[in-house]
Amino acid sequence: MEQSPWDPEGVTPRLDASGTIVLADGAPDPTATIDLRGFYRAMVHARCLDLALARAGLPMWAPAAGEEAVTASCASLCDPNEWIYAGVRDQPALAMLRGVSPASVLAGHRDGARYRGAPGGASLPGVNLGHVPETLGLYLGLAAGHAHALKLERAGQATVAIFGEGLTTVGLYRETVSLAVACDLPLVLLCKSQLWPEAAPAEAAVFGESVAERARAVGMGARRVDGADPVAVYEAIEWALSRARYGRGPTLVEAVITQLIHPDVPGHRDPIERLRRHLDRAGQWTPTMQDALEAELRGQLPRDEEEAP
Amino acid sequence: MSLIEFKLPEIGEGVVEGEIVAWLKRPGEAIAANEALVEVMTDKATIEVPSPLSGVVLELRAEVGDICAVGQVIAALGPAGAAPRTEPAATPVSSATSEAGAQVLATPAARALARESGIDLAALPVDARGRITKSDVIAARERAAAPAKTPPAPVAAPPARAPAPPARQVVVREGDEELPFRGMRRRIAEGLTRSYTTAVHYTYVEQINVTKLVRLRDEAKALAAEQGVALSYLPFIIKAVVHGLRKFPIVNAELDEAGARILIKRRYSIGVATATEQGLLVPVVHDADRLSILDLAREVARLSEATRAGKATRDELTGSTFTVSSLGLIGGVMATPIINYPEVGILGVHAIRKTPVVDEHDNIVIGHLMNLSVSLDHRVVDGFEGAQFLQEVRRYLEDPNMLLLAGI
Amino acid sequence: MIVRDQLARRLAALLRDDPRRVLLGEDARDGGMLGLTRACVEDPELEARVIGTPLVPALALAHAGGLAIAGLRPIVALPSAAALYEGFAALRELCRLSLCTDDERSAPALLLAPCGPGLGLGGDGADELSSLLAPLSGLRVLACSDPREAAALVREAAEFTAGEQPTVVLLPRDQLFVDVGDPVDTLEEPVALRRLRHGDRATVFCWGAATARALAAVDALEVAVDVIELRALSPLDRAGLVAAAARTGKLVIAHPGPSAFGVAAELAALFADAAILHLDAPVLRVGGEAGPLARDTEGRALPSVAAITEAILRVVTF
Repeated sequence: MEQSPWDPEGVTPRLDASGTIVLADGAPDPTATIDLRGFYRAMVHARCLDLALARAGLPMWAPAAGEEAVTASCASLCDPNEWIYAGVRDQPALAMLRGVSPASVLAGHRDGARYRGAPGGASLPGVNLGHVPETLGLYLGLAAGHAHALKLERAGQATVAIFGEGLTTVGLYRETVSLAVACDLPLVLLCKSQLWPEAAPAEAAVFGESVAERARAVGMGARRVDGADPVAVYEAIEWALSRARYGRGPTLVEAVITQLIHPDVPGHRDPIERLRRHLDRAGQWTPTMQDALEAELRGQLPRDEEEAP
Repeated sequence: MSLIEFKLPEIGEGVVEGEIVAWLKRPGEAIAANEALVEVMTDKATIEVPSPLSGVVLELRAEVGDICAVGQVIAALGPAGAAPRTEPAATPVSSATSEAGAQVLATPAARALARESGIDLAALPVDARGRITKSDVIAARERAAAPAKTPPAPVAAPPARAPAPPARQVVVREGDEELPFRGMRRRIAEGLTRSYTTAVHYTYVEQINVTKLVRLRDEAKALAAEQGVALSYLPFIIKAVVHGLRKFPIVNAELDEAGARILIKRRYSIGVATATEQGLLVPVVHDADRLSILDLAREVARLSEATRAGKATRDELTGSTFTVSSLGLIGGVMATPIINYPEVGILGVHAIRKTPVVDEHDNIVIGHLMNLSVSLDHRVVDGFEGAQFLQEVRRYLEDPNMLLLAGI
Repeated sequence: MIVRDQLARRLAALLRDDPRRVLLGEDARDGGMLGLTRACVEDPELEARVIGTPLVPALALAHAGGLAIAGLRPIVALPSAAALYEGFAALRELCRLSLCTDDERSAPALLLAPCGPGLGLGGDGADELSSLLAPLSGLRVLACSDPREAAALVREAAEFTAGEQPTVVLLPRDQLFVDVGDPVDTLEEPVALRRLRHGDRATVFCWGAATARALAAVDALEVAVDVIELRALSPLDRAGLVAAAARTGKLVIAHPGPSAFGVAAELAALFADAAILHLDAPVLRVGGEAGPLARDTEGRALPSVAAITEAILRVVTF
């Protein structure tokens, strides 16, 4: 199968580039344990919403295309009572998948809201998503505090924080990890890492082998997976949530994602395309079905947000 | 020629200050020599002060309402073509100006309380730094409420300032009309206050039977009219007064307390109190002893007209040695005239009324009676002398032949 | 019993009274930097709710925020008010939490902040911080003036009677280790302002460690001066302050710390705005020296008795 500079090394594939399930020893058959068609639908809707947001001309908006496996897995695996703290790029999809109408998400706030930030900038009501503070990385600290409360209450639940690998260079990340490890907090840290085949930012130098490697070094449970492999992402997050809920302390999942805005990214780096290939092979995907899925979301968006013909 | 500082000139004998009534030229305006620059009011009259040179007015250094001392710079003049100064006029330097022109420095609390209590801050004394605080206003209010009470005892620390002179609490009620108290009215008030609080007044009243004088005047009236003179009783009274003053020179005098002397006046200059639109003025008939009855009548008429028209000269408004105040037909029965300070006597002339009188044959006849009230400064004129003076005046008025004999 | 121990016992009582309360702080599980958490740690029932936080103040505050979002009531024993310089960004986020969640969540977090001179720390330790904290929208700032009231003030703050908003209690360091006998159990109302002396010649406004100095100045003068203690620096009891200012119109503000651009300036502006017709002298601010101050001169952070006396006499004799 094709190998590109965007593909991470040292990860165990569960859905390969061609869309074929890789069966490992003792691992369950995902076609039996995961609602792959529902998963696919969630990712497609997240992508459509992201495109609509990109067209909305929001200031400093960066698309999240290529990162849907993480948000869709979280939305599916977390109990609705479990809080998810995420950055502004992940919040729209999470909010939508937790039941907020796409139009409301696009508007960025509900009517009468006092604080009108970017979409996801203000917490959306009743969906247990942490708001995004303007202070860099502060929501990691909020998430740890929240997890601490769950621990004190013996709630058997976890708190999830989703962030990019850049944030792991911030002091608050280190301090949050220290506290979470010291107190065995039920905190799930979901880090979306990028590889930089072209030009790595300065922060890359401090990552060492990987974010997951460093997490293991401080005593956290950690796994590194391919973010373009939706099955691997799903199973890793399921594992992390389970650890946290059962009191085994904070757990980190590093998903290596590829931002699809790069022009030369091969198709298999797109988790949606990879799962489509799988469904296609299984005879569960047709172009009509794709059109229907996309129309389902677009129908919920305001008219003027539609793509021009 | 550069900038010439224009000082308020000497504007009359004994005049030390004047109030700016109006500027007749603005900065930048050209002015000719002897052209009027400013209208200044003194305690006697309002006069126009002319420019000493031809040129341009550069700057006015006093504002309307300011009281300026003689010799104080009130304007700057320059040669024709000079540019007026753009910066604001300098604050008048004379201390005499501070009370009228300067803004009152009072704290907000003092202003609020003064407004609420109807107290005029400008009337309150300021402290050594020129300020008024709330406690000053409270003190003024308390004094107004209980004038007999002694001022509150000063607190231990820090020391309180000396108590301020009393200020009356003024309550302005709806419908009350406000008139400005300044200019001539203020001059009159100042003069009368000085007189009333300095001279020791006493008033002596006598009733005079002027039946003969009335007859004489009736006869003379027609003759006078032929000469174009409206003959009133006033010339006769002035004449009688002059005779009285001749006999009792102490009544035609002035007390110079600072100089520890009494000045007996050589001239007989009789002031005639005259009502004008601006208020009471006293034009002077100088050397009344040298004028005939007709001349007196002419002079009184001329002066009175000039004064009412505001045309009286400074000389015609100053220098009286004794004053006669007559209200003519509404003269009433008696009065307590206030001396025209620094004179020592003033004669109030009352109405002539027909009254039944007992003549030398014990018959009751119709007589023309008139009262005279003379107020004198007891510091100078004893009661006995004052009474004798008035009796002398009476002698001449009861028997006009005396006037003839004494020579007119 | 010294004030520090009174506070420690009060914190234990607060944790006992409400199982939602948790206590956080650097070294909190060892009794805390100043010993404020000791009584809680020693109680097996409470010990689980004592959380030791890393050194970085921002994380302690963010942690408190997360606990509050989850419905708990965190109390943070800061090592020093100066920790809020470093934790300022996090404190701002706590203050905005209810705004950013459209009131779905609030942050009833209580921050205990020992401040000002007292332990010979100098530097930032001598700072009082009210001028930094009071402008933060959404923050309640209380200052303790009377050490006998310290424990009662902390309880009042912990009960969030004025609303579930983050609250800082400024505790002057020089009060923590003095034995003041029996503490006050409950604060007299109103909490925001307290009249300590009655007089009609001038009014001194003060709070925190400046209060003792203001009282020393006033008590030595033979002039009847009103002394108003501000327990609440934010939000201000504006109506109460204006009413107090109007009584004499001669105002002195004794500010613990530099008075420029600070709470005293805000008060002066308030008086100029809402009490202008009562002002009878310039509004004078008396503050301390600007830092950083050395260990042995940190007392200069507070206004001197002499300076307060001079200011009172200046307005009285104006």
